[in-house]
This record gives sequence, structure tokens and C-alpha cells, in this order.
Amino acid sequence: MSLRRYVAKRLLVTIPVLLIVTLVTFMMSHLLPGDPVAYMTQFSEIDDETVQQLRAQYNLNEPIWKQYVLWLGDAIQLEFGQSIISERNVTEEILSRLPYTVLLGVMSLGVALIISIPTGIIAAYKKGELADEVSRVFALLGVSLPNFWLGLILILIFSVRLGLFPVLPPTSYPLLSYNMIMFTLLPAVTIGTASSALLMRLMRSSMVEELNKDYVTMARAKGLPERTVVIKHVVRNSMIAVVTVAALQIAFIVNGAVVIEQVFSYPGIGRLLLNAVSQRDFPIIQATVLMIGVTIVFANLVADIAYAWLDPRIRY
Amino acid sequence: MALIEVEDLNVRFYTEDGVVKAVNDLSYQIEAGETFGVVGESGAGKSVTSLSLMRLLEYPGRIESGSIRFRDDDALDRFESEYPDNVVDLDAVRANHDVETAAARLDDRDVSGVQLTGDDRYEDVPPSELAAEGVIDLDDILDGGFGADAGLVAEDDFVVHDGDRRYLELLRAPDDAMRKLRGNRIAMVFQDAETALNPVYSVGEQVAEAIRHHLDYDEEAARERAIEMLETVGIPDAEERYSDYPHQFSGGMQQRAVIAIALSCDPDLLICAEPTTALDVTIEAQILELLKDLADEFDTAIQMITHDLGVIADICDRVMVMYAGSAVETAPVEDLYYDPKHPYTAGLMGSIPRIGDERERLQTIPGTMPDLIELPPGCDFHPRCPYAEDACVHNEPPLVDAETGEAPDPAAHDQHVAACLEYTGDLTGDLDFEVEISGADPRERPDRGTGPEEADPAGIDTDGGDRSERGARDRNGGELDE
Amino acid sequence: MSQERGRIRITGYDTQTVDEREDLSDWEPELQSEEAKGRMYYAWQRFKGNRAAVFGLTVILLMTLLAIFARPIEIAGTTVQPFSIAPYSPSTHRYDVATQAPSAKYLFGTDWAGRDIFSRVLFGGRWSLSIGFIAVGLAVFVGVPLGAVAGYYGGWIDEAIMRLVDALYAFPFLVLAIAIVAIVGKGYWNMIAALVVVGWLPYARIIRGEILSVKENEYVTAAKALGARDRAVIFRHIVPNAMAPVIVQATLSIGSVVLAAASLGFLGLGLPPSSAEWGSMLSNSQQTLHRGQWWITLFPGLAIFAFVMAINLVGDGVREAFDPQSESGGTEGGFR
Repeated sequence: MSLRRYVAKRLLVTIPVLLIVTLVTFMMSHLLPGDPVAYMTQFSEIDDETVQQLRAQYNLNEPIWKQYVLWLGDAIQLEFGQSIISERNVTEEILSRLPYTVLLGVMSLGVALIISIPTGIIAAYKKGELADEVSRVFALLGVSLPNFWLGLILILIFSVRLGLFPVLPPTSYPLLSYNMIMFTLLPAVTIGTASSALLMRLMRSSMVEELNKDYVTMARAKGLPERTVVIKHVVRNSMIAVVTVAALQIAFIVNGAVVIEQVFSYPGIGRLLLNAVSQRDFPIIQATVLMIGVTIVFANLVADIAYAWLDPRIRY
Repeated sequence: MALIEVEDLNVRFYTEDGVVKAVNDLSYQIEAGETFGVVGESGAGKSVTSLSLMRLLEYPGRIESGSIRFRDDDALDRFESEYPDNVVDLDAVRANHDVETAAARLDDRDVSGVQLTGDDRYEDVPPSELAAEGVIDLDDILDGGFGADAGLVAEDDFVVHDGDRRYLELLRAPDDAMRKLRGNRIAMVFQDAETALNPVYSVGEQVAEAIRHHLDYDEEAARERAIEMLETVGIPDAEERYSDYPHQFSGGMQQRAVIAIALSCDPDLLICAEPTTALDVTIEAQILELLKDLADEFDTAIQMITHDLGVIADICDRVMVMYAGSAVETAPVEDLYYDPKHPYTAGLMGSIPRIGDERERLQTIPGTMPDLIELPPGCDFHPRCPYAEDACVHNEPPLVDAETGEAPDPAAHDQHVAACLEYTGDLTGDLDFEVEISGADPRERPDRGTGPEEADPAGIDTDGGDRSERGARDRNGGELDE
Repeated sequence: MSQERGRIRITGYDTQTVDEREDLSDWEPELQSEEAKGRMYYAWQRFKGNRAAVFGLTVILLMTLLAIFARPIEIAGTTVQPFSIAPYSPSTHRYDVATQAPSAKYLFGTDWAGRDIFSRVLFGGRWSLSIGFIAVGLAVFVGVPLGAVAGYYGGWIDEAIMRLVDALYAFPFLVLAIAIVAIVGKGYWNMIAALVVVGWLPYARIIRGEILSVKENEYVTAAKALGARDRAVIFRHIVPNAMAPVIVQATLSIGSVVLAAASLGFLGLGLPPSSAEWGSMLSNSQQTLHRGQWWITLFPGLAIFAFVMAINLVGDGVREAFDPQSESGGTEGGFR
């Protein structure tokens, strides 16, 4: 089957998963002790009018399945109501923070790839030598370090002691300005190094496996220069595993973002979620969780498609 | 001079468990256009030999010593102009050097007498002594591959003139020169075609790749030639299948594609490393037929490596039998089958089961091939040989002409040589196996596909051949009247 | 050689003489194979030879001992463990010695409430270690049966469970854990529950995969042909084989679980900050950083790092012990 049909097929399979994601998110409101409104009013002062609004919004008098359908309908239209704390539209709140987290995510992934791919290739090629052992140690460190601790240490060294990076977020600078990017750099490095540890080992093991295969000997037997053999033949095959895992790293990066945004006081979705949790701002909590879940499902879909695109054996 | 001459090749693998003597003092020659078989059990060193020819051997394997001489006029002309500093004239070398000084340098390098002569008697004798006594001369040093160590030639002098002979010394060639030869003048066909093909590129692209690289064709021209090659190897709808991926081909088609890649630049020597082992019998027959036809058409020499005696009988002109990293018998193919000289060869042929055999058990050669780290003393085969005597434990039999008992004449081409003390006259007993011949010659067929053919109901022929075409049969092997 | 041609047969080649005769020489190959032993035995041998793994194991054992003997343990009024390695109580506030840099008296310094950080780090090991082992243990306990059911029964049960797994995988575990804590509140068992809800997924997949592949396998068909019952065959053959990857996954997961618990603690969603849990100890350290009180941040983090690194070394060692061919693709961690 061609790529197009494969994509269509994967999309179809994704839909039930998406539905379950929405279901799980929806169930959040019903796993609460009491109902969402009671949850919210526990810690915050909410006037009666708003309470009534909320009750209507959550359709708490309807049977559960109807609540779900109504909620789902709203969700698709990106209607999540208002934040308790800020009284702004939830969707607006999220959208105002989203670009920052996206910037952080992109930079983290960039850092991860820039570090992991070349080192993985070198470690595989020089298997057993010093370069390989060093990469192994680095990978172990990357995975074992608590990333929030790494962030704190980095702040200590680079911001407090050396003063190289700004400590507080620049409030008045636009997203892609130099200042903002500099500010994002340290958190991106924090998240990226942990991610790169995993990707590097994967790149290495993938390449080592490929280097042992017959088609590599065959390519050499054809008299091709070593560089062509490695880059055109081996890396291309090794990338298959790496690309798919890189797409899956999005989940890892979101994880990291939530914590790291806290460490660096970074104005993104993660902090929004954490603030909402501490203040029981339920609409925000639910909407954010849903959005994250949906994003990851699509990231997985992209990973599947990338895999099929790279490996002809899958789609034919 | 032969197309390729291997002399005293020694390959070692340095592993955790010890040093594996994969190939020991191996010598053989292949003439242009001839099909040369290398047969032996697993672990005998066959594939290591072929990788060594192309210098594709990887760590922990190392070619320790020896000489591989390749005579290819096109490559010679080209390299003489591209590597003018790496040309050497042996006549000049002989004139300007004497054997004693050269041998003295070998002493310094700790080269032992046995390495130069292949004779165990000289194991502890230093080369200088051998030179002084006239046992070795400059040619022995050069042919054994010690020319560079002895200071006679530079380490990378690989384009060699020797009187009216010209050749490339492959073990001294630099890597980039080897790369120009690989795929171009010497090509290889692998055992498992599926893994030999890169799964993410189309088959056509993989054929065209070699063409572009070596023959410097542009994309269009390379593509056309690649399609031609695919047609030549018998892949139908070649133009469409050019852009198909390896996994879309059947096993036989994949192997044809690999052959297409190997022959794409019209090499002089094709090394086939067990190309049909992974295929089923009918496909195997087709592939062998293909190889035979192509070798004839393009005048390509083939080194056919296999463990299947049937394949050997089908397409080879001469055969070398290997055991534990050494050659034990080399002969023209008919001589090998109808008059085997070495007990191991006889044992191999005796173990092929036959219909109508009255024995109750399948005959095998007892024991297993020894671990190449610890070879038996004396003759490698003696622990399994029914004719072994005390002498066999103490003397390693040299490879000698079976008729005369003398060392083989490098110039003579169709000699029958074997490595057994019987032929040097040192065996007290006799090798009393015999070859019984019955029925008509299975290799003699009028035309393929016409007329009655040799009876072979379900027996296993020594010729792999053409099972698809069988005429009427008679159980006793006679011909049926039509 | 005769001029005749035809089908050949070798006669007179008597291999019996080889079997019957005495050995001609003393030569015997030395590299003989030894008696085959059980798989666990080999795995343990390989593990023992792996110095990094043994080092990791030693560190884990050491930390466990330190955690147990840090302060006395009382069960139902009786003192089970009387030793106290920690020089000070982890919870007494003493404002007169607040925020002191490390010294001979207070090895790791003191925090804002005058508590000895060294003692708290020792004592806090109990939380991290116990959460790690318990959460993983429970996750295995949940995941393996679910995966087994899915694999064994197949059909819509399999579909349902696997879709659930896919959906749960869609949530980054920390986000889901945060959501769960948001709902059920903070606390020791709540945190463990959150970690288990997210953590059982890999085991289900592993076991299901093993069952599916074995179901196809011919030895199952052979056993059935001999009359064995499905259930017995599958559980007797699959479970021993499948436990290896489960053990590997579990060992590696401990590291990620501890990191996750620490993260939750850091975010304030775990144990109360007065408890000596390492992550919680770090949750207030941001402010202290700017005042240059580096010791409050360094030591608890170092403890987490040491433990996770050690357990990852052990996990790598376990994986290589069971499958020496596998290139250590790196410590992939338990969750993602």
C-alpha cells in the first residue's frame, strides 16, 4: 500500500485512542470527591452567580453520558469556560502561554538532536574505544540526574555565580527575540541533555547493529568510499529507530517542561498547570491535560508516519 | 601468468579465547575465465579466504603474511599512471640486492624459516642461515610476501614488473587503490541476498550506484545500464522493477539482483560466497545456470565457494578442497571426482547418500573439524583419518603433486596435488579406498532438454544440475528407446 | 585414473577404524564445553563479572542500610531497630543554627529551620527507596496479570486493554501523576497510587508480547498435540521466559520512579515539606539559591542522583546478564 493509504489507516486507528483520551480527561471531573464545583469552591471564594454558571456549564444535572457528550462538543470548539483565578477564558489563557512552551520544546529537541546524533554515530563507529566509553558514561549521567536538580545547579553556576544568563523572565520581550531565546537556552539545555542521553545510546546501538549487517560488507565490496558507506547506507537505516523515538521524546519533553518551567519560572503551560493545581482551578487543569494528551497522540501518529516513510518495508 | 595467484596466505584472528589460525599457508591460482571451486566444511576457512582477496577482513582478523598477485591489464595501465611512485621492477630489485642482506633484515624482524619455506624442519632456523646455505633466494622472499620486510621493495610498491609479467600485489596496495578494484575488477556475490541488499534503497539504485562510482556514468546512463544488467540476469520487466525495493523480490530474484550488481562493471574475477546455500533446489539450479552463462559470455573468472559437492561438479573447472584453513587437495574437477587423492576428499564423497546403497547407516567422517585455535600436531586431519599412522602425527604433509611427490610446479596448470604423506612416500600403509563407477556419465548430455536423459530417479547426483528437464527413465541407468 | 565416466561411489573407506583404534597422540582439544547449567546461574555469573553493576548493587545496599539504621524504627510500640546513624533528629527545628554552611558539626549544613541536612538526607532515604520499590512492585503486580489476560484471551478484551494502554501512554506520566494528585490529594500512598497507575503499562505490553509470540510458537502446538491443556502449557512455558524482560524493565523502572517521586516532591505535590523526602527538601531551595546557600540544593540532589545512578547500573547489569548480545541501548528508564 502506498504511503497515503498507510496514513489514512493510522488516522483511523488514532480516533478511538483520541476518544479514550478525552474520556479519561472527562473522568477526571468524576473522580473528584464531590463534584467539580465543590472542588473548586473549597479553596477559593466564588460568588453564587459564578457557582450557578459553573453548574450549568458542567451540566451536573444530566446523566453522565450526556455530560460527556456535551463536554466533548464544547471541547472540540475549544470552549472550556473560564479560569477561576484569572477569570479569563481558559482557551485564551492556554493559548497565551502555549507559544513559550513550544519554543522551549523545540529548543530542547534541537539541543537533544545536536548532541545525540553525532556522538551516537561516533560512539558506534569507534565502538569499544575511549569515545564510546565516554559517551556511555555521559548517557548514564543524563538519565540518572534529576533534571530539576540539574536546572537548579545550572542556575547556581551560570546565573548566580557567573551571571551569564538572566534569572528572571523578560516580561516585555516578544517570543522570538534574542533576550527570550537566551532566557530559554538554559532550561532547554536542562531538558535537552536528559533527552539526548537516551537518543545517543539509541543512535549508537542502532548503528552498531546496522554496521554488522551484510549490506554494509556488500557496499564496501562495491568499492564505495567509507564515507558513502556510512552516511548513505548505514545512517539512513539507523535513523529509522532514532526518528521514531525522537518523535516520542515529545512526551518526555513535556514532562520535563512541567518541572523545568517551575525551576526557571518560565511562563509556559507547565507553570500554568501547576498553578492551577495548587489553586484548584479545575477548568484549566482539565483543559491543559486534555490538550497535552491530544498533542502526544498526534506526535505518536507523526512518529508512525515518519517510520513508514523511512522504511519501505512497512508500507509495501 | 594466471589471473590471480595466492601464495602462502596466512590469516589470523586475535580473539579472547586465543589466536585462531583461520588460513594457513594457502596457495592457489585462478586462470582468466576459469571457474574455480573452493569446497570444505563450515569453519574450513573458505569465506575468510574470499574476504582476504578483497581485503575486506575486519578486526580481529588480520592477514599475517603471504602474497596475492592480480593480473588485470586495465587496472595495471590505470594504476601505472595514477600511482607512478608505487611501481617497482623486480629485475632491478634482483640486480641491486643480495639475498644475504635481505635475509639478515628478516632476522631482525623475527621472521622464522618455516614462514619462508613452509617446511617445518626450518622452524628455528633464521633466514640468514637459509640464505647462506642456498635454501632460499630472493624470489622466495618476494613471493612469500616478505619483500617489504626485507627492504627489497617499499611497503606500498604494489604495481610490479617482473620480466615480462606485470601484476598488482594486493597485500601492499593502499586502501584507495583497493577500492578502485572492488566492485570494478573483482566483485563478490553474497550468500544471503536479502541481507546483502540495503532495504531502504531500490534495487535499481543499488545496481546503478556501482556503475556511477566506477564507470563514471551520469545518472541517466547508469540507470539504463542498470536496467540492462537486470535484464541480463533474467529479471522480467526490468524497467519497472528498477524502482522496487529488495523485499518485494523473491529469494531467487534477489540473488539475481546481487549478481547484477556484481557484474555491473564487468569484473575479471567474481567471488561467489556460497551463493545458492540459502535457495531451494530449483532456484539453485537456475542461478548456477545463470552464472555459467554469464561467465562464458563475459569471460569472467569465478571463485565458487561452497560446501556442496553437487554445485562443484556442476559448474567448476578446477577445485580446491580445504580443511582447517589449509588446502588438502587441488585438481581439475573430473580428476577430483573420479580419482580423489586425499582421504578427506574421499570421506566427503563417501558421505553422500545413494539410493540403492545397502548400508544401514549414513556414513559420515567421524569426529568434527578441529577448533582453529588448537590444531592437531602433524597432519590436521589425522585424528579423523582411517589411514593415519604414527608418521602423520609428527609430520605435516606438504601439498605435493600426487603423481611425482614433488612440490607443485607453479607454471603447470592442471596438476593434481594433495597434502598426504602417501604422496611423499612416507606412508607405510596404503590408501585403499576406491572409486566405483557405474552407469553412464551423468555429465554427458546430448542437448539440454532433448532426447532421453540419464536415469536418476530420486538419487542424489554429484552434479547439481538441471532437474527441470528430465526425459524418460530407466532404473538401471540405460537409455530408453524412444 | 580410469577413462570410464559415470556415477561414482566410494568403497573401502572404513571409518570404523577411526573409532576403534587407540589415539595416535595425546592431543586433545582443550576448549571443551562444560555441563550446561540453568539460565539463572549463567545470568548471575555474568552479573557478578560486571564490575559496574556490582558497584551499583553495593551502593544500593549501602543506602538501604543507611536508611534503615538512620533512626530507630518502632513497630507497635516495640523498638525493632535501635540504631541511629543520623547524628540529629531530622525534624527538630532549631532556629539558632539555621542556614549554616557545612561544618564539622553539621556535615551537610543546616536548612532554614535549623535542621541538620545530613541527618535528613540519611533519613529521607526511607521515603525514596520505599516509594521506588513499592511503586514498581505494585505496578508489576497490576501490569503482568492485565497483560497476560490480554494476550491469552485475545479478542475484544485484548483490544480494550491495549487501547487503554495506548491512551494512558499518551499522557506524559508526570502530567498524569499531577492530575491524579490534584484529584486525590497529596500523601505517601496517593503518590504511590499515581505512580502505579502510570507505571503498569510497560509490563502489560511485555507480557502480552511474550504470550502472543509463544502462542505462535511450535512447541506450544507440539505440547497441545500431546494433549496438554492451553492454560497449563502457556503458564508453565511462558512465565519463566517472560520474567526476564519483566525483571529488567522493573529494575530500570525503579530509577525513573524515584526520579518521578522526587519531581513530585519538588513540585510540592508529594510528601509535606517537613518530611525528609529528598525531592521535597529541594522544593524550597530555589529561593536559597539566589542567596548563595548551595548546600541546601546540592546534597539532597546528590543523594537522588547517587541512588538513581546506582540502580541504573544494576539495571543495565541485569539486562546484560540475561541477554549478553544486546547492545546496551542505554538506560531507557522505566516509563518513557
